[in-house]
Amino acid sequence: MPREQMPTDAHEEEPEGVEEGLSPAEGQGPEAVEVSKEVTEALAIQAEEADRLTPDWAKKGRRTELALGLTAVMALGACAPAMRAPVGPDRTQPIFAQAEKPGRTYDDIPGLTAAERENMSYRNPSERIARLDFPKAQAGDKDTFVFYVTKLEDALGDLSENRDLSGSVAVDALKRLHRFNAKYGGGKPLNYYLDTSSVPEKVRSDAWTGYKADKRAAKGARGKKRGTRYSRKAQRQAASHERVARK
Amino acid sequence: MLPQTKKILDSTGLLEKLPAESKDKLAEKIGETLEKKLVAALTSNVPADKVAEVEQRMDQNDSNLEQYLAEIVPNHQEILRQTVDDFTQEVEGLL
Repeated sequence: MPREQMPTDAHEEEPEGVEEGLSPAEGQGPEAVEVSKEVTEALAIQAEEADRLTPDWAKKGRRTELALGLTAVMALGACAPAMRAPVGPDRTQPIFAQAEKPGRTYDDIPGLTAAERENMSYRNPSERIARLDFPKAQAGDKDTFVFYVTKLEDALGDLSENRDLSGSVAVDALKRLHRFNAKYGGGKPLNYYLDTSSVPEKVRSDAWTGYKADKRAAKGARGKKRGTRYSRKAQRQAASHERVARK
Repeated sequence: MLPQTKKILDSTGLLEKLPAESKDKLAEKIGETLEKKLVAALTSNVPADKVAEVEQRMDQNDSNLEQYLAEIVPNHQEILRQTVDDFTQEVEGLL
């Protein structure tokens, strides 16, 4: 590709008056298209997942779906303005410590939704990991984080016993955990919280490589913001990371 | 997308962050996906022994369906709210 056509040089052709730091909502052109494509794909995956979780009796056509959807949104509508408030006071409680108390079960742990309890109760470890949905931990709520890490660790242990730990399920679970740790782990490495010694080295390295590649790909797909000037070196590195992520 | 869903999405601030060019299309898809997620979250928590009753009420267009679901699904408000919260966070991460 001729140098003048390379997207890395696009900033040199930007119109006057474009300020640095504009949000994607204000962006036009290829970057916005890229974001839309990425979001559309992610939404399609989420819609499929929702279909999978919906019981058959609730899939009787659009009319049923609408009736249930309307019911759900009506129930939420009343509290829409308060929706961004922190979820439930129980979320801030040290639920891991409570789970450890003798004679307690998951049903006794406050702050877990019914869906989360159900996720915890899956006997098949692969299924349990696949469906494990880490909740949004409150900032600094290490107990919640550790609680979920422990649940994942249990599931990994079960997988190990079943000699089923080399599959993509374990890799995917560890990848998700890396993402979770990056958000809520307080800057500590994952092995600060989780003993992964029972996990084969291949799974660990595949998960880490996959996590990094996903991160780079997401960053690459977002593209640069209008008006941001990246150095030639940074542009070369970004292109290289994207190539690695595609492999 | 139901008008009520649009209202909920407005309250999350998500729609303001969408790329201007494809805002309408994306908003529609986001709304539809959110509805699916809410339906999944709600129906997967309906106790098995109450399913027949829910179906019957839906067939009869029962105007108290919402109230009935609130009674039989434990923490039903929190489940729905958590679903919206998680969904908002996931979509925000993509923008």
